[in-house]
Amino acid sequence: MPPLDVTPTDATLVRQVLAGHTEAFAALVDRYHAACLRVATNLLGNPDDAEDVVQDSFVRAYRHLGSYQERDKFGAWLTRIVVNQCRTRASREARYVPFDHERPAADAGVLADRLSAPPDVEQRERAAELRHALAQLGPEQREAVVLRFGEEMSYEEMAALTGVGVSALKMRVQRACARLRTLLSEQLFS
Amino acid sequence: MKPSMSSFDADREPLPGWMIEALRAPATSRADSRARIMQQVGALPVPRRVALPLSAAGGSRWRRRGALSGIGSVLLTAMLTLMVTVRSGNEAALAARVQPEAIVLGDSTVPVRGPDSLALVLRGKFLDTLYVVEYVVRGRGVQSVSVRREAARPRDLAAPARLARVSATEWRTRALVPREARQVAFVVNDIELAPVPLRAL
Repeated sequence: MPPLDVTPTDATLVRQVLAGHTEAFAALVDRYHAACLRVATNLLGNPDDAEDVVQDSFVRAYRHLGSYQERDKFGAWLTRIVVNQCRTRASREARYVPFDHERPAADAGVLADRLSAPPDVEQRERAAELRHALAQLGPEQREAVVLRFGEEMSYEEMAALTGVGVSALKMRVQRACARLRTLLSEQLFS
Repeated sequence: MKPSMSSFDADREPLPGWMIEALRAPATSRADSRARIMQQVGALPVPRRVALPLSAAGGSRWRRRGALSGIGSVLLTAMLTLMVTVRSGNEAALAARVQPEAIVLGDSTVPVRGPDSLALVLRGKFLDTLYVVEYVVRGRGVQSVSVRREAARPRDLAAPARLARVSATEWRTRALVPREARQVAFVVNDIELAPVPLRAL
């Protein structure tokens, strides 16, 4: 007989937290922390800021857990909080991504050297290039790219999360991709 | 459908695979992240379920604001049409039953008054000439009558005049009206009738 799947659902955990079992919230943190951190890091660029935002988001989610509706996906609800917190932080600090803007743009010769580097180094270099390029995008375009490709959201899910229409989101993604294509060198894009 | 991660196609897939992989790569977390969150959460009171408004809780669509459609809108239109028709019918029946009149009896000179009086006095005008008008309404089934007059001049105080019952079928009162006034509206039983022109005796 196969073992029964005893992993509690998000809704069950939320109900347990609302019933006073605060420790059930730890399971939700374990389940969603990595995804939230990835979103925040992609949006803000700075790992420390991202950690702070994710921490604030979980605390905020806990505080407003009573207003969470079980018909909504908990992950989507939480992501909305994270994205909103990122926006708030960005507007408060007037910077969405604190990359070193002094850094020169991708140079074809340098990139050629980097691409011949070992795979993990190459991967890191590429990721750094991407982060640098993302920093050049406007917040709305960056948010669209991160949610669409980083979080694999459908346009309908993105619309529900951001409150922006599907066609507008498609346009944002399209423009963001075009801009990334311009920013990144042909070597990286091929 | 989720976007493909494999290869780059400028038309269909706007980002190359390595870029999507980079976006999906896990971010490095602090070792004490979970503990810090739980420490903060532990200091907070236990959250309570918020009672939802009816609209959000999936209550009857008839009771949801802005959710009226289909047969509901038809019924609402029918009710409004009926109300307007009944009111129009009442007004027509009343207009046929009563005869309002506004008769100019003559002129009267009175000290200037109203909001412009000071300016008039300063210009040397102390008296104002007004029409003495008698309002008369004759008819059955009248419970109350007042007269509403359009302001004949800027800042004219056109307070409604109430008519007194003089017999079972007749209501009267006299009022001073600016000479610029041309017509008045009688309000009988709280229904405003078509305006009546002032006429000379």
